[in-house]
Amino acid sequence: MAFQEPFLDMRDVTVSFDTKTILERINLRLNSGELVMIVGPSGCGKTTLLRAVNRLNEEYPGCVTQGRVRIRIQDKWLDCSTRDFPLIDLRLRVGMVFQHPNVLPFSIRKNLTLPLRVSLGLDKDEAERRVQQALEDVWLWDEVKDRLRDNALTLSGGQQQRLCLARVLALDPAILLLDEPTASLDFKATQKIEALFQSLKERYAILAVTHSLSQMRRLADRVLVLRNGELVAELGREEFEDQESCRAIMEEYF
Amino acid sequence: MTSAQKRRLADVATLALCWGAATGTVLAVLAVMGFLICRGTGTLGMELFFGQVHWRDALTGARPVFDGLWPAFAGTLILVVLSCLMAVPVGIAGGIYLSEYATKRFQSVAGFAVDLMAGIPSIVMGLFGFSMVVVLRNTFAPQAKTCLLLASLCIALLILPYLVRTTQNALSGLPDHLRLLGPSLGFTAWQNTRHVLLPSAGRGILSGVILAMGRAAEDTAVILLTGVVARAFLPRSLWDKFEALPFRIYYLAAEHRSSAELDQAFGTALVLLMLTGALFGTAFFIQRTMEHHWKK
Ligand SMILES: Nc1ncnc2c1ncn2[C@@H]1O[C@H](COP(=O)(O)OP(=O)(O)OP(=O)(O)O)[C@@H](O)[C@H]1O
Ligand SMILES: [Mg+2]
Repeated sequence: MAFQEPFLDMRDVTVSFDTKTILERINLRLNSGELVMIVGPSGCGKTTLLRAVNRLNEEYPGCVTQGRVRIRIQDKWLDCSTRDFPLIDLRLRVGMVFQHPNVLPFSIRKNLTLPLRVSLGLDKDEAERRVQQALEDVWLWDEVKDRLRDNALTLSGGQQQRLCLARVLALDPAILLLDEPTASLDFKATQKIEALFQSLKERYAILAVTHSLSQMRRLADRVLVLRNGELVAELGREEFEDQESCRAIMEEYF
Repeated sequence: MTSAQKRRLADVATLALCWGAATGTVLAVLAVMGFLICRGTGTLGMELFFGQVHWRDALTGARPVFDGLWPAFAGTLILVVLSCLMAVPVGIAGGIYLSEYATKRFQSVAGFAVDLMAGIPSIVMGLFGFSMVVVLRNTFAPQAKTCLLLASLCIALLILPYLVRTTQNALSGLPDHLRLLGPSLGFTAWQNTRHVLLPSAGRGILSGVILAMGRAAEDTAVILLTGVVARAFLPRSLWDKFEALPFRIYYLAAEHRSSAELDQAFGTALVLLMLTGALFGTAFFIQRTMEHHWKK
Protein backbone atom coordinates (compact mmCIF):
# COMPACT_ATOMS: atom_id res chain seq x y z
CA MET A 1 0.00 0.00 0.00
CA ALA A 2 1.34 3.42 -0.87
CA PHE A 3 0.89 5.81 2.00
CA GLN A 4 0.60 9.51 1.65
CA GLU A 5 2.70 11.88 3.61
CA PRO A 6 2.59 11.72 7.40
CA PHE A 7 -0.40 13.15 9.16
CA LEU A 8 0.86 13.21 12.67
CA ASP A 9 4.39 13.72 13.87
CA MET A 10 5.45 13.42 17.50
CA ARG A 11 8.99 14.39 18.42
CA ASP A 12 10.65 13.67 21.76
CA VAL A 13 7.40 13.71 23.67
CA THR A 14 7.87 13.26 27.39
CA VAL A 15 4.95 13.15 29.82
CA SER A 16 5.16 13.14 33.57
CA PHE A 17 2.57 13.10 36.31
CA ASP A 18 3.60 14.75 39.57
CA THR A 19 7.31 14.47 38.69
CA LYS A 20 6.96 10.77 37.83
CA THR A 21 7.95 10.24 34.21
CA ILE A 22 5.39 8.09 32.41
CA LEU A 23 6.43 8.55 28.79
CA GLU A 24 10.03 9.10 27.78
CA ARG A 25 11.07 10.74 24.49
CA ILE A 26 8.46 9.24 22.23
CA ASN A 27 8.94 9.66 18.47
CA LEU A 28 6.07 8.64 16.27
CA ARG A 29 4.71 9.28 12.79
CA LEU A 30 1.31 8.41 11.50
CA ASN A 31 0.53 8.43 7.80
CA SER A 32 -2.84 9.09 6.34
CA GLY A 33 -4.81 5.96 5.57
CA GLU A 34 -2.69 3.95 7.96
CA LEU A 35 -3.65 1.96 11.04
CA VAL A 36 -0.89 1.86 13.61
CA MET A 37 -1.28 -0.25 16.71
CA ILE A 38 0.43 0.19 20.04
CA VAL A 39 0.98 -2.85 22.21
CA GLY A 40 2.66 -3.26 25.55
CA PRO A 41 2.16 -4.53 29.07
CA SER A 42 -0.50 -3.06 31.34
CA GLY A 43 0.50 0.26 32.87
CA CYS A 44 3.28 0.97 30.37
CA GLY A 45 1.65 4.22 29.26
CA LYS A 46 -0.39 3.35 26.18
CA THR A 47 -3.41 5.37 27.23
CA THR A 48 -1.17 8.23 28.25
CA LEU A 49 0.45 8.15 24.82
CA LEU A 50 -2.91 8.47 23.09
CA ARG A 51 -3.85 11.30 25.42
CA ALA A 52 -0.61 13.05 24.57
CA VAL A 53 -1.74 13.36 20.96
CA ASN A 54 -4.88 15.35 21.75
CA ARG A 55 -3.30 16.90 24.85
CA LEU A 56 -5.91 15.42 27.14
CA ASN A 57 -3.29 14.66 29.78
CA GLU A 58 -3.21 18.36 30.50
CA GLU A 59 -6.69 18.16 31.98
CA TYR A 60 -5.02 16.57 35.00
CA PRO A 61 -3.34 18.96 37.38
CA GLY A 62 0.27 18.00 37.94
CA CYS A 63 0.90 16.75 34.41
CA VAL A 64 3.81 18.14 32.42
CA THR A 65 4.26 17.44 28.71
CA GLN A 66 7.40 18.27 26.78
CA GLY A 67 8.29 17.79 23.15
CA ARG A 68 6.52 18.61 19.93
CA VAL A 69 3.33 17.29 18.37
CA ARG A 70 2.43 18.38 14.85
CA ILE A 71 -0.50 17.51 12.65
CA ARG A 72 -0.88 18.19 8.94
CA ILE A 73 -4.09 19.78 7.82
CA GLN A 74 -4.61 20.59 4.15
CA ASP A 75 -0.89 20.43 3.37
CA LYS A 76 0.00 22.68 6.25
CA TRP A 77 1.86 21.50 9.33
CA LEU A 78 0.49 22.88 12.57
CA ASP A 79 2.46 22.71 15.77
CA CYS A 80 -0.14 21.73 18.38
CA SER A 81 2.19 21.67 21.32
CA THR A 82 2.49 25.44 21.61
CA ARG A 83 0.81 26.98 24.57
CA ASP A 84 -1.63 29.08 22.58
CA PHE A 85 -2.68 26.42 20.07
CA PRO A 86 -6.48 26.23 20.11
CA LEU A 87 -7.14 22.97 21.94
CA ILE A 88 -10.68 22.81 20.65
CA ASP A 89 -9.53 22.66 17.01
CA LEU A 90 -6.99 19.99 17.89
CA ARG A 91 -9.56 17.82 19.64
CA LEU A 92 -12.04 18.16 16.82
CA ARG A 93 -9.36 17.00 14.38
CA VAL A 94 -8.26 14.17 16.62
CA GLY A 95 -11.17 12.07 17.82
CA MET A 96 -10.69 9.76 20.77
CA VAL A 97 -12.59 6.65 21.87
CA PHE A 98 -11.88 5.70 25.46
CA GLN A 99 -10.81 2.38 26.89
CA HIS A 100 -14.19 1.81 28.52
CA PRO A 101 -17.48 2.71 26.88
CA ASN A 102 -17.94 6.28 27.98
CA VAL A 103 -21.50 7.29 27.19
CA LEU A 104 -23.16 10.26 28.82
CA PRO A 105 -26.10 9.31 31.05
CA PHE A 106 -28.37 11.08 28.56
CA SER A 107 -30.52 9.84 25.71
CA ILE A 108 -28.89 8.11 22.74
CA ARG A 109 -29.69 11.02 20.49
CA LYS A 110 -28.39 13.60 22.93
CA ASN A 111 -25.10 11.69 23.22
CA LEU A 112 -24.58 12.35 19.54
CA THR A 113 -26.16 15.76 19.08
CA LEU A 114 -24.62 17.42 22.12
CA PRO A 115 -21.06 17.67 20.74
CA LEU A 116 -22.39 18.52 17.29
CA ARG A 117 -24.37 21.43 18.61
CA VAL A 118 -21.98 22.57 21.33
CA SER A 119 -18.60 22.12 19.64
CA LEU A 120 -19.53 22.63 16.00
CA GLY A 121 -22.60 24.82 16.51
CA LEU A 122 -24.58 22.89 13.90
CA ASP A 123 -28.28 23.53 13.52
CA LYS A 124 -30.87 20.91 14.32
CA ASP A 125 -31.36 19.49 10.83
CA GLU A 126 -27.69 19.17 10.01
CA ALA A 127 -27.10 17.54 13.41
CA GLU A 128 -29.89 15.02 12.78
CA ARG A 129 -28.44 14.20 9.39
CA ARG A 130 -25.00 13.58 10.84
CA VAL A 131 -26.44 11.47 13.67
CA GLN A 132 -28.04 9.11 11.20
CA GLN A 133 -24.92 8.99 9.03
CA ALA A 134 -22.64 8.23 11.98
CA LEU A 135 -24.97 5.57 13.35
CA GLU A 136 -25.09 3.92 9.95
CA ASP A 137 -21.29 4.07 9.76
CA VAL A 138 -21.02 1.98 12.92
CA TRP A 139 -23.95 -0.29 11.95
CA LEU A 140 -25.99 0.85 14.91
CA TRP A 141 -28.76 2.68 13.09
CA ASP A 142 -31.03 -0.32 12.64
CA GLU A 143 -30.59 -1.35 16.24
CA VAL A 144 -31.40 2.00 17.80
CA LYS A 145 -33.43 3.98 15.31
CA ASP A 146 -36.65 3.30 17.23
CA ARG A 147 -35.22 4.11 20.64
CA LEU A 148 -33.16 7.25 20.13
CA ARG A 149 -34.90 8.82 23.13
CA ASP A 150 -33.90 6.01 25.50
CA ASN A 151 -31.08 6.48 27.94
CA ALA A 152 -27.79 5.45 26.36
CA LEU A 153 -26.92 3.43 29.47
CA THR A 154 -29.63 0.93 28.49
CA LEU A 155 -27.51 -0.16 25.51
CA SER A 156 -25.28 -3.22 25.72
CA GLY A 157 -21.53 -2.80 26.19
CA GLY A 158 -20.78 -3.35 22.52
CA GLN A 159 -23.52 -1.00 21.44
CA GLN A 160 -22.24 1.64 23.85
CA GLN A 161 -18.74 1.28 22.44
CA ARG A 162 -20.06 1.74 18.93
CA LEU A 163 -22.12 4.71 20.07
CA CYS A 164 -18.96 6.31 21.41
CA LEU A 165 -17.29 5.69 18.08
CA ALA A 166 -20.26 7.18 16.24
CA ARG A 167 -20.11 10.24 18.46
CA VAL A 168 -16.52 10.82 17.41
CA LEU A 169 -17.10 10.05 13.73
CA ALA A 170 -19.99 12.52 13.60
CA LEU A 171 -17.53 15.30 14.41
CA ASP A 172 -15.64 14.41 11.23
CA PRO A 173 -12.09 14.12 12.59
CA ALA A 174 -8.95 13.42 10.54
CA ILE A 175 -7.21 11.18 13.06
CA LEU A 176 -8.77 8.55 15.31
CA LEU A 177 -7.33 7.46 18.65
CA LEU A 178 -8.81 4.15 19.75
CA ASP A 179 -8.01 2.83 23.21
CA GLU A 180 -8.62 -0.91 23.33
CA PRO A 181 -11.89 -0.51 21.51
CA THR A 182 -12.81 -4.17 21.84
CA ALA A 183 -11.64 -4.74 25.41
CA SER A 184 -15.07 -5.44 26.87
CA LEU A 185 -16.73 -7.02 23.88
CA ASP A 186 -17.70 -10.53 22.96
CA PHE A 187 -16.53 -12.38 19.89
CA LYS A 188 -19.38 -11.26 17.66
CA ALA A 189 -19.23 -7.58 18.60
CA THR A 190 -15.45 -7.66 18.24
CA GLN A 191 -15.82 -8.98 14.73
CA LYS A 192 -18.20 -6.18 13.90
CA ILE A 193 -15.93 -3.49 15.27
CA GLU A 194 -12.88 -4.93 13.55
CA ALA A 195 -14.67 -4.97 10.23
CA LEU A 196 -15.60 -1.38 10.94
CA PHE A 197 -11.97 -0.42 11.41
CA GLN A 198 -11.07 -2.02 8.13
CA SER A 199 -13.49 0.30 6.41
CA LEU A 200 -12.56 3.35 8.50
CA LYS A 201 -8.89 2.88 7.69
CA GLU A 202 -9.45 4.24 4.24
CA ARG A 203 -10.83 7.52 5.48
CA TYR A 204 -8.86 8.19 8.65
CA ALA A 205 -5.41 7.82 10.07
CA ILE A 206 -5.85 5.55 13.08
CA LEU A 207 -3.71 5.09 16.16
CA ALA A 208 -5.06 2.21 18.24
CA VAL A 209 -4.12 0.38 21.42
CA THR A 210 -4.76 -3.33 21.67
CA HIS A 211 -4.12 -6.18 24.04
CA SER A 212 -4.89 -8.86 21.52
CA LEU A 213 -2.07 -10.14 19.33
CA SER A 214 -4.47 -11.79 16.91
CA GLN A 215 -6.34 -8.55 16.48
CA MET A 216 -3.06 -6.80 15.89
CA ARG A 217 -2.16 -9.28 13.18
CA ARG A 218 -5.53 -8.93 11.50
CA LEU A 219 -5.70 -5.15 11.45
CA ALA A 220 -2.40 -3.36 11.88
CA ASP A 221 -0.25 -1.91 9.14
CA ARG A 222 2.49 -1.18 11.61
CA VAL A 223 3.02 -2.03 15.26
CA LEU A 224 4.77 -0.06 17.97
CA VAL A 225 5.84 -1.80 21.13
CA LEU A 226 5.78 0.32 24.27
CA ARG A 227 7.50 -0.73 27.45
CA ASN A 228 7.96 1.30 30.62
CA GLY A 229 7.07 4.47 28.78
CA GLU A 230 9.52 3.97 25.94
CA LEU A 231 8.96 2.82 22.38
CA VAL A 232 11.22 -0.20 22.16
CA ALA A 233 10.37 -1.57 18.73
CA GLU A 234 8.62 -0.81 15.50
CA LEU A 235 7.41 -3.73 13.43
CA GLY A 236 6.24 -3.79 9.84
CA ARG A 237 3.59 -6.17 8.47
CA GLU A 238 6.10 -8.75 7.27
CA GLU A 239 7.57 -9.06 10.77
CA PHE A 240 4.36 -9.89 12.63
CA GLU A 241 2.40 -11.52 9.80
CA ASP A 242 3.79 -14.92 10.57
CA GLN A 243 2.21 -16.27 13.74
CA GLU A 244 5.31 -17.98 15.10
CA SER A 245 7.76 -15.14 14.60
CA CYS A 246 5.19 -12.70 15.94
CA ARG A 247 4.86 -14.72 19.11
CA ALA A 248 8.61 -14.94 19.47
CA ILE A 249 9.00 -11.18 19.11
CA MET A 250 6.28 -10.49 21.64
CA GLU A 251 7.79 -12.93 24.13
CA GLU A 252 10.93 -10.90 23.86
CA TYR A 253 9.32 -7.55 24.58
CA PHE A 254 6.69 -8.36 27.21
CA MET B 1 -13.84 -18.19 70.94
CA THR B 2 -12.53 -19.13 67.51
CA SER B 3 -11.69 -16.44 65.02
CA ALA B 4 -14.62 -17.45 62.83
CA GLN B 5 -16.96 -17.02 65.79
CA LYS B 6 -15.44 -13.64 66.58
CA ARG B 7 -15.94 -12.45 63.01
CA ARG B 8 -19.50 -13.66 63.08
CA LEU B 9 -20.15 -11.89 66.38
CA ALA B 10 -18.71 -8.62 65.04
CA ASP B 11 -20.95 -8.99 62.03
CA VAL B 12 -24.07 -9.50 64.09
CA ALA B 13 -23.17 -6.69 66.47
CA THR B 14 -22.65 -4.23 63.59
CA LEU B 15 -25.92 -5.22 62.04
CA ALA B 16 -27.77 -4.82 65.34
CA LEU B 17 -26.21 -1.41 65.96
CA CYS B 18 -27.05 -0.10 62.49
CA TRP B 19 -30.54 -1.50 62.66
CA GLY B 20 -31.06 0.02 66.08
CA ALA B 21 -29.81 3.43 64.97
CA ALA B 22 -32.01 3.42 61.87
CA THR B 23 -35.10 2.35 63.81
CA GLY B 24 -34.37 4.89 66.51
CA THR B 25 -34.21 7.69 63.96
CA VAL B 26 -37.45 6.67 62.32
CA LEU B 27 -39.15 6.32 65.70
CA ALA B 28 -37.98 9.76 66.80
CA VAL B 29 -39.29 11.38 63.61
CA LEU B 30 -42.58 9.50 63.90
CA ALA B 31 -42.93 10.50 67.55
CA VAL B 32 -42.42 14.19 66.82
CA MET B 33 -44.71 14.13 63.82
CA GLY B 34 -47.31 12.13 65.72
CA PHE B 35 -47.27 14.53 68.62
CA LEU B 36 -47.56 17.55 66.32
CA ILE B 37 -50.36 15.99 64.33
CA CYS B 38 -52.13 14.89 67.49
CA ARG B 39 -52.07 18.32 69.10
CA GLY B 40 -52.13 20.49 66.00
CA THR B 41 -54.59 18.93 63.57
CA GLY B 42 -57.60 20.08 65.57
CA THR B 43 -56.64 23.70 65.10
CA LEU B 44 -56.02 23.49 61.36
CA GLY B 45 -58.62 25.47 59.48
CA MET B 46 -59.54 28.85 58.18
CA GLU B 47 -59.52 30.36 61.62
CA LEU B 48 -55.93 29.35 62.35
CA PHE B 49 -54.88 31.07 59.16
CA PHE B 50 -57.09 34.11 58.99
CA GLY B 51 -58.70 34.60 62.40
CA GLN B 52 -62.09 36.28 62.05
CA VAL B 53 -61.36 37.72 58.60
CA HIS B 54 -62.81 36.17 55.46
CA TRP B 55 -60.05 34.43 53.48
CA ARG B 56 -60.76 36.43 50.34
CA ASP B 57 -60.28 39.72 52.13
CA ALA B 58 -57.15 38.39 53.79
CA LEU B 59 -55.54 37.13 50.59
CA THR B 60 -56.22 40.35 48.71
CA GLY B 61 -55.03 42.31 51.72
CA ALA B 62 -58.36 44.18 51.87
CA ARG B 63 -58.58 43.63 55.64
CA PRO B 64 -55.68 43.01 58.03
CA VAL B 65 -55.52 39.65 59.79
CA PHE B 66 -55.24 40.12 63.56
CA ASP B 67 -55.08 36.68 65.07
CA GLY B 68 -54.23 34.24 62.28
CA LEU B 69 -50.93 32.96 61.02
CA TRP B 70 -51.44 34.20 57.46
CA PRO B 71 -49.04 37.20 57.72
CA ALA B 72 -46.41 34.94 59.29
CA PHE B 73 -46.95 32.36 56.55
CA ALA B 74 -46.49 35.01 53.86
CA GLY B 75 -43.49 36.45 55.70
CA THR B 76 -41.70 33.09 55.90
CA LEU B 77 -42.51 32.26 52.30
CA ILE B 78 -41.11 35.57 51.05
CA LEU B 79 -38.10 35.21 53.34
CA VAL B 80 -37.24 31.74 52.03
CA VAL B 81 -37.79 32.64 48.39
CA LEU B 82 -35.81 35.87 48.64
CA SER B 83 -32.88 34.39 50.50
CA CYS B 84 -32.75 31.43 48.12
CA LEU B 85 -32.87 33.76 45.14
CA MET B 86 -29.82 35.48 46.57
CA ALA B 87 -27.93 32.46 47.90
CA VAL B 88 -28.61 29.63 45.43
CA PRO B 89 -27.02 31.20 42.31
CA VAL B 90 -24.05 32.53 44.28
CA GLY B 91 -23.62 29.28 46.20
CA ILE B 92 -23.76 27.07 43.13
CA ALA B 93 -21.41 29.36 41.23
CA GLY B 94 -19.02 29.31 44.19
CA GLY B 95 -19.15 25.53 44.30
CA ILE B 96 -18.46 25.32 40.57
CA TYR B 97 -15.51 27.65 40.94
CA LEU B 98 -14.01 25.72 43.84
CA SER B 99 -14.42 22.35 42.16
CA GLU B 100 -13.58 23.18 38.55
CA TYR B 101 -11.36 26.24 38.41
CA ALA B 102 -9.63 26.88 41.73
CA THR B 103 -6.07 25.78 42.35
CA LYS B 104 -5.47 23.10 45.00
CA ARG B 105 -4.12 25.73 47.36
CA PHE B 106 -7.06 28.07 46.98
CA GLN B 107 -9.41 25.12 47.30
CA SER B 108 -8.13 24.27 50.75
CA VAL B 109 -8.03 27.88 51.96
CA ALA B 110 -11.50 28.71 50.64
CA GLY B 111 -12.83 25.36 51.76
CA PHE B 112 -11.71 26.12 55.29
CA ALA B 113 -13.37 29.53 55.13
CA VAL B 114 -16.61 27.94 53.92
CA ASP B 115 -16.58 25.39 56.73
CA LEU B 116 -15.89 28.17 59.22
CA MET B 117 -18.84 30.10 57.86
CA ALA B 118 -21.09 27.05 58.14
CA GLY B 119 -20.11 26.84 61.79
CA ILE B 120 -21.14 30.42 62.65
CA PRO B 121 -24.06 30.34 65.09
CA SER B 122 -27.11 31.97 63.56
CA ILE B 123 -27.45 34.48 66.40
CA VAL B 124 -24.05 35.86 65.39
CA MET B 125 -25.30 36.26 61.84
CA GLY B 126 -28.30 38.14 63.25
CA LEU B 127 -26.00 40.35 65.25
CA PHE B 128 -24.05 41.05 62.09
CA GLY B 129 -27.21 42.26 60.32
CA PHE B 130 -28.18 44.30 63.31
CA SER B 131 -24.81 46.04 63.54
CA MET B 132 -24.98 46.71 59.81
CA VAL B 133 -28.13 48.75 60.42
CA VAL B 134 -26.46 50.57 63.30
CA VAL B 135 -23.51 51.47 61.11
CA LEU B 136 -25.80 52.60 58.28
CA ARG B 137 -27.78 54.79 60.69
CA ASN B 138 -24.64 56.51 61.91
CA THR B 139 -23.31 57.11 58.43
CA PHE B 140 -25.14 57.76 55.21
CA ALA B 141 -28.59 56.27 55.80
CA PRO B 142 -30.00 57.63 59.06
CA GLN B 143 -33.47 56.23 58.26
CA ALA B 144 -32.18 52.61 57.96
CA LYS B 145 -34.01 50.02 60.04
CA THR B 146 -34.21 46.26 60.27
CA CYS B 147 -36.48 44.88 57.58
CA LEU B 148 -37.43 41.93 55.39
CA LEU B 149 -34.64 42.57 52.90
CA LEU B 150 -31.99 42.71 55.60
CA ALA B 151 -33.28 39.50 57.18
CA SER B 152 -33.24 37.75 53.79
CA LEU B 153 -29.70 38.92 53.20
CA CYS B 154 -28.51 37.58 56.54
CA ILE B 155 -30.35 34.26 56.00
CA ALA B 156 -28.75 34.06 52.57
CA LEU B 157 -25.33 34.43 54.20
CA LEU B 158 -26.30 31.75 56.69
CA ILE B 159 -27.22 29.16 54.05
CA LEU B 160 -24.53 30.04 51.51
CA PRO B 161 -21.85 27.66 52.84
CA TYR B 162 -24.15 24.62 52.57
CA LEU B 163 -24.79 25.41 48.93
CA VAL B 164 -21.12 25.96 48.12
CA ARG B 165 -20.03 22.76 49.83
CA THR B 166 -22.70 20.45 48.43
CA THR B 167 -22.19 21.79 44.91
CA GLN B 168 -18.43 21.40 45.19
CA ASN B 169 -18.73 17.87 46.56
CA ALA B 170 -21.31 16.80 43.99
CA LEU B 171 -19.07 18.02 41.16
CA SER B 172 -15.74 16.75 42.40
CA GLY B 173 -17.29 13.36 43.13
CA LEU B 174 -17.89 12.81 39.43
CA PRO B 175 -15.63 10.15 37.90
CA ASP B 176 -12.62 11.01 35.74
CA HIS B 177 -13.98 9.39 32.62
CA LEU B 178 -16.96 11.75 32.63
CA ARG B 179 -14.69 14.70 33.31
CA LEU B 180 -12.39 13.97 30.34
CA LEU B 181 -15.16 13.23 27.88
CA GLY B 182 -16.23 16.81 27.21
CA PRO B 183 -12.73 18.12 26.51
CA SER B 184 -12.04 15.14 24.24
CA LEU B 185 -15.05 16.19 22.16
CA GLY B 186 -13.88 19.77 21.87
CA PHE B 187 -15.83 21.35 24.73
CA THR B 188 -14.41 24.31 26.60
CA ALA B 189 -14.14 24.05 30.37
CA TRP B 190 -17.38 25.96 30.81
CA GLN B 191 -19.23 23.96 28.15
CA ASN B 192 -18.12 20.78 29.86
CA THR B 193 -19.37 22.03 33.22
CA ARG B 194 -22.63 23.29 31.79
CA HIS B 195 -23.53 20.37 29.52
CA VAL B 196 -21.91 17.34 31.14
CA LEU B 197 -20.95 17.90 34.77
CA LEU B 198 -23.84 19.98 36.11
CA PRO B 199 -26.58 17.71 34.72
CA SER B 200 -24.75 14.71 36.16
CA ALA B 201 -24.38 16.35 39.57
CA GLY B 202 -27.91 17.76 39.63
CA ARG B 203 -29.26 15.53 42.36
CA GLY B 204 -26.38 16.21 44.71
CA ILE B 205 -26.81 19.94 44.22
CA LEU B 206 -30.55 19.60 44.84
CA SER B 207 -29.91 18.04 48.24
CA GLY B 208 -27.89 21.14 49.14
CA VAL B 209 -30.70 23.42 48.02
CA ILE B 210 -33.20 21.48 50.12
CA LEU B 211 -30.93 21.64 53.16
CA ALA B 212 -30.56 25.37 52.63
CA MET B 213 -34.30 25.93 52.26
CA GLY B 214 -35.04 24.05 55.44
CA ARG B 215 -32.48 26.11 57.28
CA ALA B 216 -33.90 29.35 55.88
CA ALA B 217 -37.44 28.43 56.87
CA GLU B 218 -36.72 27.37 60.44
CA ASP B 219 -34.18 29.92 61.57
CA THR B 220 -35.37 32.24 64.31
CA ALA B 221 -32.23 33.74 65.75
CA VAL B 222 -31.24 35.66 62.63
CA ILE B 223 -34.63 37.22 62.03
CA LEU B 224 -35.06 38.02 65.72
CA LEU B 225 -32.39 40.70 65.38
CA THR B 226 -33.13 41.76 61.84
CA GLY B 227 -36.76 42.68 61.63
CA VAL B 228 -39.26 40.05 62.75
CA VAL B 229 -42.07 41.28 65.01
CA ALA B 230 -45.09 39.68 66.60
CA ARG B 231 -47.61 41.86 64.77
CA ALA B 232 -46.81 43.37 61.40
CA PHE B 233 -49.59 42.23 59.09
CA LEU B 234 -48.56 41.55 55.50
CA PRO B 235 -45.27 43.26 54.58
CA ARG B 236 -46.03 45.99 52.05
CA SER B 237 -42.46 46.30 50.84
CA LEU B 238 -39.04 44.79 51.38
CA TRP B 239 -38.28 47.67 53.76
CA ASP B 240 -41.07 46.62 56.11
CA LYS B 241 -40.99 44.64 59.31
CA PHE B 242 -42.56 41.23 58.95
CA GLU B 243 -43.93 38.19 60.77
CA ALA B 244 -42.57 34.67 60.42
CA LEU B 245 -43.83 31.20 61.31
CA PRO B 246 -41.00 30.04 63.58
CA PHE B 247 -41.16 33.26 65.55
CA ARG B 248 -44.94 32.97 65.82
CA ILE B 249 -44.56 29.44 67.16
CA TYR B 250 -42.06 30.74 69.67
CA TYR B 251 -44.20 33.51 71.10
CA LEU B 252 -47.41 31.47 70.99
CA ALA B 253 -45.68 28.79 73.06
CA ALA B 254 -43.93 31.24 75.35
CA GLU B 255 -46.97 33.40 76.12
CA HIS B 256 -49.88 31.00 75.97
CA ARG B 257 -52.52 31.40 78.64
CA SER B 258 -54.64 28.35 77.80
CA SER B 259 -53.96 24.96 76.32
CA ALA B 260 -56.04 26.00 73.31
CA GLU B 261 -53.51 28.73 72.59
CA LEU B 262 -50.68 26.24 72.94
CA ASP B 263 -52.44 23.98 70.45
CA GLN B 264 -52.35 26.92 68.06
CA ALA B 265 -48.58 26.80 68.32
CA PHE B 266 -48.63 23.12 67.36
CA GLY B 267 -50.96 23.87 64.48
CA THR B 268 -48.58 26.59 63.32
CA ALA B 269 -45.67 24.16 63.54
CA LEU B 270 -47.62 21.74 61.35
CA VAL B 271 -48.20 24.51 58.82
CA LEU B 272 -44.48 25.33 58.86
CA LEU B 273 -43.70 21.67 58.19
CA MET B 274 -46.16 21.58 55.32
CA LEU B 275 -44.74 24.79 53.88
CA THR B 276 -41.19 23.47 53.90
CA GLY B 277 -42.46 20.18 52.49
CA ALA B 278 -44.12 22.05 49.65
CA LEU B 279 -40.94 24.04 49.02
CA PHE B 280 -38.88 20.83 48.90
CA GLY B 281 -41.39 19.40 46.47
CA THR B 282 -41.08 22.46 44.27
CA ALA B 283 -37.28 22.28 44.29
CA PHE B 284 -37.47 18.57 43.47
CA PHE B 285 -39.90 19.22 40.64
CA ILE B 286 -37.76 22.01 39.15
CA GLN B 287 -34.65 19.82 39.29
CA ARG B 288 -36.39 16.83 37.67
CA THR B 289 -37.84 19.02 34.93
CA MET B 290 -34.43 20.50 34.18
CA GLU B 291 -32.82 17.06 34.27
CA HIS B 292 -35.43 15.69 31.91
CA HIS B 293 -34.87 18.59 29.56
CA TRP B 294 -31.09 18.23 29.70
CA LYS B 295 -30.92 14.50 29.23
CA LYS B 296 -33.55 14.07 26.57
N1 LIG C 1 -3.93 10.97 35.76
C1 LIG C 1 -2.88 10.31 36.19
N2 LIG C 1 -2.23 10.72 37.31
C2 LIG C 1 -1.15 10.04 37.76
N3 LIG C 1 -0.65 8.95 37.17
C3 LIG C 1 -1.24 8.50 36.07
C4 LIG C 1 -2.39 9.14 35.51
N4 LIG C 1 -2.76 8.47 34.41
C5 LIG C 1 -1.90 7.45 34.29
N5 LIG C 1 -0.98 7.46 35.27
C6 LIG C 1 0.10 6.49 35.45
O1 LIG C 1 0.73 6.32 34.22
C7 LIG C 1 1.07 4.97 34.01
C8 LIG C 1 0.55 4.53 32.67
O2 LIG C 1 -0.85 4.58 32.68
P1 LIG C 1 -1.69 4.24 31.36
O3 LIG C 1 -3.12 4.39 31.72
O4 LIG C 1 -1.19 5.06 30.25
O5 LIG C 1 -1.33 2.71 31.13
P2 LIG C 1 -1.85 1.72 29.99
O6 LIG C 1 -0.65 1.31 29.23
O7 LIG C 1 -2.96 2.34 29.25
O8 LIG C 1 -2.35 0.50 30.85
P3 LIG C 1 -3.59 -0.49 30.57
O9 LIG C 1 -3.16 -1.43 29.50
O10 LIG C 1 -3.80 -1.18 31.87
O11 LIG C 1 -4.75 0.36 30.15
C9 LIG C 1 0.48 4.19 35.17
O12 LIG C 1 1.53 3.86 36.04
C10 LIG C 1 -0.46 5.14 35.83
O13 LIG C 1 -0.43 4.96 37.22
MG1 LIG D 1 -4.98 2.02 29.07
